[in-house]
Amino acid sequence: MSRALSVFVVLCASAALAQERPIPPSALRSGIEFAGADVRAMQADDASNPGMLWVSRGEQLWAAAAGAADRNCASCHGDASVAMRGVAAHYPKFDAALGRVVDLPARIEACRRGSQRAPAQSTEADDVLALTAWVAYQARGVPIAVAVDGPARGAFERGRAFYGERHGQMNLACTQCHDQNWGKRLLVETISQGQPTAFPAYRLEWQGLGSLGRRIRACLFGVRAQMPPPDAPELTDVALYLAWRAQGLPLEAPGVRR
Amino acid sequence: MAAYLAGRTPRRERVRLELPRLADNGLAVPMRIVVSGPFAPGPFVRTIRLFSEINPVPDMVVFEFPRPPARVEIESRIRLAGTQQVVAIAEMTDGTLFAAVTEVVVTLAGCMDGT
Amino acid sequence: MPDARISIPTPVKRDEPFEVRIQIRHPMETGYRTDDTGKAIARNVIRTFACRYNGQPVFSAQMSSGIAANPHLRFFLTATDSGELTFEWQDDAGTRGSDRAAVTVA
Repeated sequence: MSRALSVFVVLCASAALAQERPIPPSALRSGIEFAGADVRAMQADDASNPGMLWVSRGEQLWAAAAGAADRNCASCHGDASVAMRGVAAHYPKFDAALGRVVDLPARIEACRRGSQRAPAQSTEADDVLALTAWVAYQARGVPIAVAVDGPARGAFERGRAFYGERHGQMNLACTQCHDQNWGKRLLVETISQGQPTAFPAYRLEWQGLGSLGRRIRACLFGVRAQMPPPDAPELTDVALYLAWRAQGLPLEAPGVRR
Repeated sequence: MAAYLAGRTPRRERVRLELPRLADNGLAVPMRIVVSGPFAPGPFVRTIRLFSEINPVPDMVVFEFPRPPARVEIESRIRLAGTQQVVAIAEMTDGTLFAAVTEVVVTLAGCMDGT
Repeated sequence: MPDARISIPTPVKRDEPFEVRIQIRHPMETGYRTDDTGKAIARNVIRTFACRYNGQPVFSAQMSSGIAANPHLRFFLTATDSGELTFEWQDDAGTRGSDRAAVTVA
């Protein structure tokens, strides 16, 4: 009897959460579906996708000894295609050792610093990005699935709140464009659902590969808000909310966007 | 471009310059040049030049074929500073010039990116 | 560290055009951008790019800031014998890069 009750409670809880999804799972669409033909062609082919240059670099870094410990990633993790398979699809996640929810670039940077004893770097440093691209590449095609309960709950709720709040001089909330007006035009562009599936992504505007955190900062700049620094915790909070919201969509990293 | 042409007039044939009518982003516009044959024996393509109408640097690129190419099809990505015409001129080994002109509309992004 | 990715078919048919694709990691800095302090970032673009087949020059490009960052090139070559394609490039700062790919003719 009590087992049936606990099953009932779990079902209610997940149903309640499911009802709060602003876009139902069947209507989720990657940003690539809102992109023009040229961007789609660039992403579709690894020989044309400039993001693959960072994947190749990440592959080299994985095997290169670094830091005061003079060891490479492979010395602990082995073959990335085995050890990192699917891993990126479960980020951001709560990291017990670090005591907080982290995104993939932060996790990689912490590993470099802690295990390789390499000097601290920004999560937007090129080496960190390249390794992020290499690790994310091992999860290409894997459906996003993140944990938002337990120790991740606080970050998830903060991220959801941030997503629904108005920001900047334009006084716009993310939900207003990306939940309520996706598919409509903004000048010559079509508003996407703001999904995180393509990141790290080669953005033509950046002329290089960048993280989801950078893209969120760019969005905040776009609504004339104060841009938080790259390591601001709210960026990870929002990234966790976005990953929950995107549950089931396959990772496309490295994506190409305009 | 006028300096290169030095009074010569290219024929508007045999060269196809493919560019999107509306560029996703002026920083990276996909470009394809195709020059149809016949080629060697006889005159073949020695160089292909690309010129911009309004970029600060109008001479964009020169492709060179030191040996007779069997197939002339080149793709790259170019930068365009704004809506403009782009000109491709192919020079054959006998000095004949063939050209194509294509217009591209380049707009600003819907959202500004300050990163 | 690899600066480039090359893609050619294996094998290629003797004396029939085959597709060569190369992407090079390079910012192709135009010289028109400024950094956070307002100081201009110096121009540095790849100027010369040359492809050789078994040591013979077969394709080259003189580039400018009009070529997008992380240059991508797709072109066609023909080969009679198996061998090697070498790619070399140099930028305004004098930095050279190179890469190679084996060509197998069937």
